[in-house]
Amino acid sequence: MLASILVLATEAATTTADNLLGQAAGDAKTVKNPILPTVNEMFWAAIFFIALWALMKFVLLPRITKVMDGRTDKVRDDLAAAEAAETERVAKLEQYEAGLAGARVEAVAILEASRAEGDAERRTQIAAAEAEVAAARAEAAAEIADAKARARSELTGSITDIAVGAAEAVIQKPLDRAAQGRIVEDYVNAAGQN
Amino acid sequence: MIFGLEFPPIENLVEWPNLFGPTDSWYGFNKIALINLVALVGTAVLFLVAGRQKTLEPVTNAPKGSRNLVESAVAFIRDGIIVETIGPDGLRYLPFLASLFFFILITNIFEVIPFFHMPGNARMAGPAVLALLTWVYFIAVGIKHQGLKYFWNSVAPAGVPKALLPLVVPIELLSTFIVRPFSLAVRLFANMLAGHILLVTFTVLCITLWGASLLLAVLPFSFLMLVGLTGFEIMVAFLQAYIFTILASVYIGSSMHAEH
Amino acid sequence: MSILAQATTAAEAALTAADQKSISAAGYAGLAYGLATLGPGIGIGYLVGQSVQAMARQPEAAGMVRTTMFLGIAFTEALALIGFVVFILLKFV
Repeated sequence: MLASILVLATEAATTTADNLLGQAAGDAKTVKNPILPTVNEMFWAAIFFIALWALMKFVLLPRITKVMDGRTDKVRDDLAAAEAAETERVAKLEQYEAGLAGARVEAVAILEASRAEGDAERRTQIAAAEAEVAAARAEAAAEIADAKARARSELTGSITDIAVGAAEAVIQKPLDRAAQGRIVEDYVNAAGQN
Repeated sequence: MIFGLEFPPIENLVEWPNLFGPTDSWYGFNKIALINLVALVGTAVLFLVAGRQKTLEPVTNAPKGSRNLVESAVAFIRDGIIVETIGPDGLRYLPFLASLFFFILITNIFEVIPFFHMPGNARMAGPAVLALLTWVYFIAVGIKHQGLKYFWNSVAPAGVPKALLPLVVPIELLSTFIVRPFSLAVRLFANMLAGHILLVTFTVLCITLWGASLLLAVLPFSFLMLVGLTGFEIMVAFLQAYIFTILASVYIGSSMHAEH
Repeated sequence: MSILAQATTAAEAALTAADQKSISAAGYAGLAYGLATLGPGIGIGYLVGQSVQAMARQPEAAGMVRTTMFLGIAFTEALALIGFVVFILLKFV
């Protein structure tokens, strides 16, 4: 499509140019076509461009690309070195972390051991204290029971005396003290139980 | 003549008398040839200054100054043009394409350089030579890579039914071997000539308005337009160098491998 | 244009046929260039619009799209430039 249009346009342009050129040639003054290339300019353009091309190929560009390639290589090497350093770092990090994990396990173990030891110590101390307390309590209880029994026997004796005395006063005759004493003791015991 | 505005005839805009050598001789050296010479010398000096190397410092350090400029341009041609259109195996064409790019860019940029104010490619000669060289180059690359089968491969794309070949072959023949160089040259030439005429028009307008009494009010707009267009033409100069180079690269790339 | 022709009736006799043809060619040069810009204008607008859309949808493919866009612009623009060359030929030669 583009091709055919371009070709048509070219034909139109060249025929017009030819007509006008022919007409111009017929005139006295020759009008130069501003479109058509002139030989001298083409000659110099070709010379200078081909010179630039040759210079570019053999002198100018190699000096630039050499440095650019050198830099690219250096960047690649540096990147590789950085990569190696990174791998090493990761390895070291893993090693360190492994060490750290071991240390942590050890610390936990020590902690557990000390905690167990402390527990045991505490438990024995508590047991000792409890035993001591129990002993003191038993002693106190025995003392109390002793005091209670003494008080009771004292009380029983005096109550028997009072009761027998009172009864003798009531009935005007001496009573069997031993038999009355048993009865009073029974009552006191019954009352102590209540 | 409109309102005293006299536009110069076009041959006064683009045709330059010879600096030496007789008129109409084949070696007459005029302003266009001088611009082409400056493109050669300028590129060479730029590369030599950028490429000077006393120590290993440029390799180990980031590029700066002229080296940075040249390396960016070369990297742009290499990565932005060749690798994108041909692929990594097109890097051996870097010298040709880099020469094209710098030569066209510098001859174009003279459109806005004071005391020159003439794009070297606003004459058909430069673009015609470059397009012709590109044409020879991509045909040579095709013959080198595919042998004489290149001509048949390029006019008869694979996958076209045999019945269509009488229709396809002439079209492809025209578009590959005639339209390609023609459109390459005309694109560059017409862009630069149009830009040149545009700048000249506004300059002439500014000069004419300077003497006008009533229309002087329009002068600032005309001048601002001229400044804006100068910036636009710098962009066009770069863009046309880029487009010429990338098209040359595409053509060379299409010669390297038979089309599928 | 007709007014101009009537005004110059006297001078017309002095003009040769070639001069008349040149004058009419110059008159139509602007029209030719104007017509030549229409298609490429639409084409480049559509092309760049679609490319921007593609770049917006897939920013990672922007480099490839941009290269192809410039190639497409170069091909489309060629038509307008041919029109410009014809304009120069008609107008100034």
